[in-house]
Amino acid sequence: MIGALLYWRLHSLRNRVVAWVVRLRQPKYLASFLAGAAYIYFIFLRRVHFGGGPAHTLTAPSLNGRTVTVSLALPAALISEVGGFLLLAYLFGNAFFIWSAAAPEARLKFTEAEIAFLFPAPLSRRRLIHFNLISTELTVLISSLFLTLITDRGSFLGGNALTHAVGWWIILSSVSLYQNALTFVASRAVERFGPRAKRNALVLLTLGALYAVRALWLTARAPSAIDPRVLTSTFVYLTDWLRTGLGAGLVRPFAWVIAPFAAPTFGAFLLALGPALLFPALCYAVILGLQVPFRDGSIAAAGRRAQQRAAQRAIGTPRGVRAYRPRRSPFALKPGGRPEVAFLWKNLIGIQSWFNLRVVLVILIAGALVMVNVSHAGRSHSNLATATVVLTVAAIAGFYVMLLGPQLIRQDLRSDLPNADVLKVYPLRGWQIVSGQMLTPALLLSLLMWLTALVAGWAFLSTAQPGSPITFGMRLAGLICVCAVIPAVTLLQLVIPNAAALLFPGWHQAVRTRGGGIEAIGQRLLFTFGQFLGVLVALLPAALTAPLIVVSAVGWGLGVIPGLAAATLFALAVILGEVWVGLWWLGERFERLDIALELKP
Amino acid sequence: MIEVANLNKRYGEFVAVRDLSFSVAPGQVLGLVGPNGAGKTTTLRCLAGIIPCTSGLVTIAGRNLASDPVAAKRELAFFPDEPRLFDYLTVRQHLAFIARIYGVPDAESRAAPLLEELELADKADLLPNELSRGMKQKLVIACGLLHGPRVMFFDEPLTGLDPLGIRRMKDSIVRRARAGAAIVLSSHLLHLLEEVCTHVLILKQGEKIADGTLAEVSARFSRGEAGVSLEEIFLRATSDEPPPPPAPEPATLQDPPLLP
Repeated sequence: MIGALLYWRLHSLRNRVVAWVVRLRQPKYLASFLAGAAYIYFIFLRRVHFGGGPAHTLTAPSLNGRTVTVSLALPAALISEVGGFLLLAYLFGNAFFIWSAAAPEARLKFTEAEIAFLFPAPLSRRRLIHFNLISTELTVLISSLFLTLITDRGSFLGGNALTHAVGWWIILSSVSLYQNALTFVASRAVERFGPRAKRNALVLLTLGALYAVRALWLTARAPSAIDPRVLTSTFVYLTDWLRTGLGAGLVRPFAWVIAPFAAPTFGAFLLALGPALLFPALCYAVILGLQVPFRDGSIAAAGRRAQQRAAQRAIGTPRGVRAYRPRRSPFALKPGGRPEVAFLWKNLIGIQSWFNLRVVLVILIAGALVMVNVSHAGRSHSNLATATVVLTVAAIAGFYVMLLGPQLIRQDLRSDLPNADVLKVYPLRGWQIVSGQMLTPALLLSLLMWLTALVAGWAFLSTAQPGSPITFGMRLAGLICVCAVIPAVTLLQLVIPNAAALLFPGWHQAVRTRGGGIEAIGQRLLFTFGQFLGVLVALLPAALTAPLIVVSAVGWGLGVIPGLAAATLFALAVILGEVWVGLWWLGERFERLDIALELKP
Repeated sequence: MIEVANLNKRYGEFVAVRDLSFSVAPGQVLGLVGPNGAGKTTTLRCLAGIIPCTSGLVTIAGRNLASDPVAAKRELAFFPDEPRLFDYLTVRQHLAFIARIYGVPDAESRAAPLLEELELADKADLLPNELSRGMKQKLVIACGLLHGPRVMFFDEPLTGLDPLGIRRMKDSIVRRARAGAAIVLSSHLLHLLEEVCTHVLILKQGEKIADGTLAEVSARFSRGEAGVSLEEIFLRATSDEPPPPPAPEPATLQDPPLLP
């Protein structure tokens, strides 16, 4: 049994590695791999501490001329207790989720392929469970190594990479076993006691949640000499509560689970291992001991996961979002009119699972609140610093939307490339299809950019003081000009990633459907960098000429505001011209695209 | 209605379709048959403008597909073997989208009977993932027929349909051919060809082995035997033996349709 599992896993791994190495012979994959590997090395691996002893220290000269070395590691007990509390809260939320299901059913996480091969096979229930648990552990091991890379970047942990990796493994295994065990317990309880069991469980969980909220509330109100603004002090504050009363009893077993991860030395790590394994061992015993049927639940869960993955591939839905649900049309689509609008309509429906009217309202309200607050601050002259901070933050947010937005919002030709054969039958020119597809992300990104521009502009307007050379009118004109240029810039930005998808369709598809890896990281880095560089170059003519126009207008006595208007019109003409050329070229490229040849990974 | 002259499709050194010529008149149904890898789907995709031909001329309803693709595509519909739909659009939304793309002014009055005919009326607000495979296939057909195409390409049209669906699909193809459409379909189901097609074109390794009416192709490969089944004809035509010489008076696909 174990031999078969290992054979399957090892051969799958070997075949994947061989296919991966073969693929790396192609320069495009090699380039993205190198970029991704460099990123991982410089951001994560370089900082991982493989040796023993205290991991992170700070060495600095003291006043008397000697050097002083200070350990930056947080106390292990503190990490264990706070971590235990967070783990408990997470598992508590999980319990709510599982008990809230219409009919809690026992399930183990099998893939559809595993179900097809293993369920009809002559395997006992016990063997099937063991197969699943061991298989899951292999996945957990990889996740643990990945998390170790992330947590070892920080300077707050004791121990070393090995203890952190094993620590993560114990934590993740405990969570996985707990989730399985809980579905078994819930299923058995409902089977034996009926809907009453579900109701009672939810009542108990609610009472528990209320107790925790009350305890935390009391803690927050408790008088203390500790400055609550200091993060570390807040942790200590919290652990005071965790170390006393019922809280301590509840958190203790989960703190034990965290303890190996937090252990400052190898000896402490070994001592912590025993208690840490108690909780996962209990979950394991429950899974094995409860004779609950789990096949139906596992099949249903596997189907749901496969469906969600398919949706993510098809429409680029973010993870964890329910993809399949009929959505309302954003507007009535009449049969007559520009066909490009049909793509806008279609893609707006497609993104409604994660971007809908509710989200827009929340963003707008948040933006409005910030603007009102800034407006007050500016008018009162009491807090100009607030307006400056808001201006800076909004500008940075706008920059990030501009830089990363086109890579994140991909509801255009990139998400529809798998449907290229359907699109190519439509009686439309290539540029019509490409431009129609780009309308949705352009609209979304423009809205976000407008919002950041408005917030930044509002803050800028609020800081206008009487006698300032940059008058309120100039500021307002500047804001209007920026807002006018934003849609054109957004379209320009989207031309580049869509061009990349059309120029390297196989590459784009392969990384997209394989769902990640070093090459995916590298590809995204290269694409983001390429897009940024491309936009900079494309904006250069407008950016260099527009200031000259403003200066000339002032020189000719026309004033700043007419100069800004003329510069904006010029910039718009240049950028839209570039967009038009880009769309025309992309359209030509799309018409010539041989999907049978080029969409092969 | 469909004119194909010297169509070639190459992938590097590999020749998928070689020097293929034929024509299909209004009312005719041409069955494209051949073993796996013969180039049937590639041919259909070239004819529908999905993939570019390496060389050759394709004319759809008098429009050159290469130089005037928009006008040519307005006249055609392509039905792939695997239903390709947008996962997030309902049945009704699919039709609204297609109506706008093709600019169908009376889309609503056309959609209602189509949905009735294809038994989709009560599923108009469902997503593709809530439909069975057969129903998805029907939705693809509804989308394809909405603009009233005069040329239709079906790639394995019966895949995934239940017996009743198969019957209805056959009737639908015959009815549309009678109404004046030119239809090309590819299939491995030889009984479909016997029931539906007026003409047949046998492909092997991208090359045309034979074409003509069913009777003509049967006559060519029956070697004088009576009552030879179409299956036997197909096996003989696609075997490695050299094909018999064509009949002294080769028939053309411009013959009147044989539909009853």
